[in-house]
Amino acid sequence: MSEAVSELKQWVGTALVGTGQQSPQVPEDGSALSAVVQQLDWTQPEQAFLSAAGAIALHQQIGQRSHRTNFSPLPICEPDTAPVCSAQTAGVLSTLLNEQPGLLAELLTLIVDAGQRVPPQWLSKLLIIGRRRTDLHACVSKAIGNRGRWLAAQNPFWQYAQSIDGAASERQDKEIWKSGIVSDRTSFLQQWRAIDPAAAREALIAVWETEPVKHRTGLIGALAVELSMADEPFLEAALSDRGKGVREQAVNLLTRLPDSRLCQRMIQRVQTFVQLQETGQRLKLEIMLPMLEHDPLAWKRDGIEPEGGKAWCLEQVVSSVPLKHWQIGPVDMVRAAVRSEHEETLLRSWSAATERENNVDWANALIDECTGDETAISNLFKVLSAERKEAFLKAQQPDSSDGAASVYWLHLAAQSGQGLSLELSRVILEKTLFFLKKDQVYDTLFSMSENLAMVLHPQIAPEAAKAIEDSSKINQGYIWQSFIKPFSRILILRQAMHQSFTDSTFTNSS
Amino acid sequence: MALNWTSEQVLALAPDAGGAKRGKALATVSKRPLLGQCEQAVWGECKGSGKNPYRTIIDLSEPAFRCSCPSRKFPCKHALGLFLLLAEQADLFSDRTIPDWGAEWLAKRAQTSEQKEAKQAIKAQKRQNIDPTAQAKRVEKRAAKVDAGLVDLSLWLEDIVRQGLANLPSQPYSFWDQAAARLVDAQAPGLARRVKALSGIPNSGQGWPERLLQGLGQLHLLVQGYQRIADFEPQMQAELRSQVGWPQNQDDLKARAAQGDPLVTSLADLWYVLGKTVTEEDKLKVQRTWLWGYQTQQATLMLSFAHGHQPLDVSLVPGSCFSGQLIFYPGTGVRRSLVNAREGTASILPDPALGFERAEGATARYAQALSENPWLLQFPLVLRQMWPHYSSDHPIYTWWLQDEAGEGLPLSCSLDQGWKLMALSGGHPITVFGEWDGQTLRPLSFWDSAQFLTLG
Repeated sequence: MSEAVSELKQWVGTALVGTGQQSPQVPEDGSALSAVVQQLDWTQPEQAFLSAAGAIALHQQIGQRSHRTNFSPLPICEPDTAPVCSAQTAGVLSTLLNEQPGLLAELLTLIVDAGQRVPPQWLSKLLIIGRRRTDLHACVSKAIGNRGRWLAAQNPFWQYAQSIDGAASERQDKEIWKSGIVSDRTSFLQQWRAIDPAAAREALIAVWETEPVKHRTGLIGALAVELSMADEPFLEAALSDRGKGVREQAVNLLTRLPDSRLCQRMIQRVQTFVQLQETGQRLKLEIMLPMLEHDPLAWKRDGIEPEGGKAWCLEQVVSSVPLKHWQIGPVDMVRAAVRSEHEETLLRSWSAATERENNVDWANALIDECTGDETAISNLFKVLSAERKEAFLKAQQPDSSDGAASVYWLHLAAQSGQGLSLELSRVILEKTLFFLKKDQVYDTLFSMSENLAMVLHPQIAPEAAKAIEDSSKINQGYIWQSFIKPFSRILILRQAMHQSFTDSTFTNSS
Repeated sequence: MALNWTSEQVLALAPDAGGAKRGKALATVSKRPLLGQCEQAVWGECKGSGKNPYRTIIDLSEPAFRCSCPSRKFPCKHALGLFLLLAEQADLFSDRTIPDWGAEWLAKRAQTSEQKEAKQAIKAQKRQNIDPTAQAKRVEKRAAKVDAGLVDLSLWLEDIVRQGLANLPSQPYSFWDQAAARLVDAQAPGLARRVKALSGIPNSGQGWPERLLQGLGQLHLLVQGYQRIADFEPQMQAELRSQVGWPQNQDDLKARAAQGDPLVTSLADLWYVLGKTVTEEDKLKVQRTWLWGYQTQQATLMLSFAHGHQPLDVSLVPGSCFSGQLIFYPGTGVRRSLVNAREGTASILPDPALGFERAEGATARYAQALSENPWLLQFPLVLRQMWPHYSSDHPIYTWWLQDEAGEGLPLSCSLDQGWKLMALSGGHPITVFGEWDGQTLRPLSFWDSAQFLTLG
């Protein structure tokens, strides 16, 4: 050994094989440490070896200095004008981040509406959780303030939260796009679409031919973000793709573009077999079922499956036609459809179109006529305004003796989003508990536990707790575990969440 | 009010993660029929499963807790919930008249502390009456045991070196465990802990032989040092004894301080509680709390141990400070201490304006501390004017603190903690307190002009 004594590395070789196999060679480099090591009693090699190791280790430890890192300085974050949320709100936030991320959207919206922001110490956790939840992206980027958007810019995985309004971001980390796994690439593409839709589409087109079919389906779906007529030529071409999933996605996206060639073809088709006739004050729909032998390949390319029969073809075509094509208002159209012999087909098709276009007027006109068609009602119900949802639920409230109808009603209620009144919430709570207490419990109820708790008025928590406490049937055992426990927990958290904004006390956490 | 407690500080008192979660769940008004406060204490009732609500009271001067619930956790979820509620919504504590049960407990506490003092006096009296020859005999017996244990350890270490480190990764855990157990029997628990700490190194990945050699060498130096203990100054002798694991009785230390023993210093100061960390060895929880004296500029370590579900000491809350007298254990360098007397209530810690603005200065101070005590394991460091940085290219360390001169210290922290520091900085320099082990800094606390946070 001729190297410096001061490196413990030089001794590792001997240490590994053992002093029994290999006598230690004592290096000398003229240093003070070397002198100390030389002076050890090497007639007892093990002892001397250990002493040398100890001395050198200490020497190294004392000599340990800071590292020359020279990281380039980070940009400084713009100061925030919005105050951080109260300590109480932050407490609820930390609970949600740890155990109930499903409630984050509600809390973040409350924070944004109050003109507040998430405190810095919770930003990283929120950004990590938010990354996988595309539904949260918009409210996360608003609720995190300048500090959060600055933080998101430091991590390529958090690009989704970098800007509030999709303004172009300067830092585009393309590494994920080039070499990431397909789910990351898809969510990256979605984020990219939000910022620069044209560039994102061009990037997709550039790699399209080399992508395996199973990746294409997810990737093309990302175009739903900021979809526009600029995407139409690419989507139109994708109608001839060899992947079935890709073709379905293309049809799905093109029907959302009323000016697309696909929609124009659908309009042409519909004109040949649905005619509007005004006789006096009355509107009449003249229906001729389509002739299928007419160019079935072109129909298939547009996503219509002729195998289902004529009525099914009619339904597919009508539901793909943009609602604005009908020119006459939805109320009159629905009335005319009810008088037609193809009432059900027409109503179902329009319900699908209404859901796709999120058209409140059509939903209002259709929902009362679709009684009995549960799929159509569920589709339309989602589109209604909060007040209309409340009114609809009140009007449709079934008798408790009709179990199946009641459970379906609760299922609708569970989808009503937030904003139900305390009064209706009481009815829903009462009905829910009534059916849970029955000897024969409906299994479908269990899957609604969390959704119901998320739509009820937040102030109902104490009443719910009391009602539950009073019934031994539901405050223990299986029903407690699988329904009441998650139900109560969510109600309590939501109450605390709302209360943290209304309380007069405002102890700021910073 | 003397102190605005923050949720972070309160949650740091929780005995475990589950306790913190349950405490949070109880921090709601709906379960609290009664909430009140006076200068010294806050109290409240909390609905539980039983007919009568639980009665909880917190003496804010330390803080100390009392709850009528049967939980063995300490502080219990009711106390944590009440404390959190105070931190988040102090205005809810509208009641000003302390209920009888609360007043009773506070009176009892005052009485107990008086009784304690009386007991101490009696103990001190007793100590003076101890037969010195019998005690000397006991000490001698223990010393002989320790000496024998050290000879045994020396042979074991030599065996390892003779046979080579290469076959250690395949040794079963009992190889280390038995060696440690023999040291416990020899009444040298400090050495036993070091042997156990070595056991993980052979399977710790690249570079392990060097790390293990380092650990073995240091342990050997400690054995050698102890075997030549008579050659050293009294302070170093005390340090060696404490490293080996000679027990140090707190009452004994107090008595020695009172008698003016030069090895046992006592210091009165305003003490900042900089941060704490809890580690678990087997079933023993070890809590290290670091303090800093404002006038004396002294750092000190408080240790608290708890077996199984026993509670750890919660009277020292990171981010608070108190006036009081500490008694320092005999030894060298950064020493362990105990609280002898506290005056008044704890108050919030202002940004203490201490610590190093240059990484180089910090490592130089560490080198000095090592020269005072070569067996030092963790060194408390406050670093100011530092920027957190993420490095994707460094082979070992991801997170760094860098000073203005471009010198950095690697951090030992999770990805989430690193991003948390980054979020808190916003591109501005930050102040961090942590434990430096010669290689990496483990961040424990954070300050800025507005707040103190524990990291964990």
